[in-house]
Amino acid sequence: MTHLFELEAVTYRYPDGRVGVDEAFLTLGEAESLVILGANASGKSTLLRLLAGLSFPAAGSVRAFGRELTEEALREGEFARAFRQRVGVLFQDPDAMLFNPTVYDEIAFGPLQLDLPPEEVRRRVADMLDLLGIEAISDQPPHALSGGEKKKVALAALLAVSPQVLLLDEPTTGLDPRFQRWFVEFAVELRRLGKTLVTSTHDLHIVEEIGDRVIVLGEDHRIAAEGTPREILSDLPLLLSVNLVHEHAHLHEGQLHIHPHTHLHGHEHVHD
Amino acid sequence: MLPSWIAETASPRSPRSRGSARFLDRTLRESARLVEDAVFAERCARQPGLLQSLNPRLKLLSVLALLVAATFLHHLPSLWALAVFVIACATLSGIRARLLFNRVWWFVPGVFVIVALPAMLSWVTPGDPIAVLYRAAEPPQLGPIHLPAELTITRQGLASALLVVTRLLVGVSLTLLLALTTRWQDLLKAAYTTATAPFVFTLAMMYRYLFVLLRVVENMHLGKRARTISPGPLAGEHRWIGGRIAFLFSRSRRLSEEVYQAMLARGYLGEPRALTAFSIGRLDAVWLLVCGVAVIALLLLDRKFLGGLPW
Repeated sequence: MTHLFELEAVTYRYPDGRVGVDEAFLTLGEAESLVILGANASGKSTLLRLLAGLSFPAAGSVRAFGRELTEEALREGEFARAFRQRVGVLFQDPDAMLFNPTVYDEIAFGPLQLDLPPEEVRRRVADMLDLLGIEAISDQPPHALSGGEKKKVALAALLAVSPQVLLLDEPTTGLDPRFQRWFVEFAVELRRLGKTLVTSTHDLHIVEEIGDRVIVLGEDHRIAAEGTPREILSDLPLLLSVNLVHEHAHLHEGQLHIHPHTHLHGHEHVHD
Repeated sequence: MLPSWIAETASPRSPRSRGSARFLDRTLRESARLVEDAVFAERCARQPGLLQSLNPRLKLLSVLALLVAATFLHHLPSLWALAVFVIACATLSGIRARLLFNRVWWFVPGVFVIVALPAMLSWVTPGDPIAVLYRAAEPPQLGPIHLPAELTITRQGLASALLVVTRLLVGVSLTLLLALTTRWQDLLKAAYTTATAPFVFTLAMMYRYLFVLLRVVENMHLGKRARTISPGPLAGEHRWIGGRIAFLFSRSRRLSEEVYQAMLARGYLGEPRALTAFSIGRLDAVWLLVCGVAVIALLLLDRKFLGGLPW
């Protein structure tokens, strides 16, 4: 398998000296779907930013498409343009991504940066509006949108440049179950099209459907484990140690089940 | 194990002061008003009407031309004629003249005191006196400064003051009319050229994130109000406000960094680009003609037919 990204002993430190990611080794192959699991503040977003060339390691190296990803490399117009075209990022906070006056302008922003002719830009915007079912809000300003609509617009804006690699930072956090379901189906469709996906999440319910490989970040910001979704989700001690499940998660026939609990008389559990 | 006191509900304390509650209410009211204004402007810009039907860029250029013409008009009748033209346009665009006046007239007293009042006085604009404010036998002295023996309102001063205020009112009405009949995003696109791109882009983002930060402010104040049983001492309230201002500053800084990263991630290399289409319809051509005729007629009226004093 061709490696699109290779991380070797990558350590990232925040400006105040705190460690964000500690000695991470990671490879990402073409058309692969990787899920980064971890509790809050374990370094998932930082790892995505390192892959996106938006943050740079204090030690170790990040290689993308056969070239080391450094600030200098991304200052070169040609490499930066090619890299940004191939790698798209969905930010956790959609407000950070939606900086244009209308939904239409938002989707057009990326294709315009690629110097595509205006007709092609319009065609892509129309396709994205149609694909995500957001034609009705195309001339709306972002502040008039709901949380789910904002996520859809952000996804449309990201896909309008047709990136090969999609880095998705907690795409389902804070959204209603219907949108979560919609996102899972959308991610499956993207995988079918051969896109490479990297999704950071702490939502265990979506892992098996969207990922074919999982890495788990511990609260010490190191990669605690790597494996298939089934291997990772069945390793209860691991999930407990990285604070991804609470102590009342259960294993039934080798499968992880997380049930809402009511505690009655000591250790007697009632499952909904 | 929950502590036992959590089962009891404390009896409410009598309020000490309303100062902080008033401040919270005012902040919330102002935040809500800003959003209401934006929604109202959007609704006006979407309703059918003459100015709403025009190409935004053409409309912007014609309003600029009318504003420039207004600065060249030196007689009140020609400025009044322009005001009538503005009111006619507002009426044809479904904007009531009363709304225009309400939004424009509130700042007249301020402008009058700061700009017009000094201009009426003989010390600033010498001329024929029409009212004497004071007359001294000896010219008063203020340290090394010798003041004139009398202070009057002059005919010339009054005329120029009226001219300044009227011009300002007409100019502001025109600008307001443009803002009320054009969606903010269309206005920005209309102002977009290669030269103005960075400025327009920055302005668009400022407006966009104003709403995001406004929501943060609103949430902070609602949170505070929800947990305020009895307002604390004034110094503590001031500390809280100072702390929130610092928080908002830090939040906006973090957001700006994230936005910049999001721009970089989508291929931004320091040169903003936008999709603009510029097409002129029949109504635009008629409007252009009407504006051109109006500007020429007003300038001719001002220069050829009116002379001497501004009235």
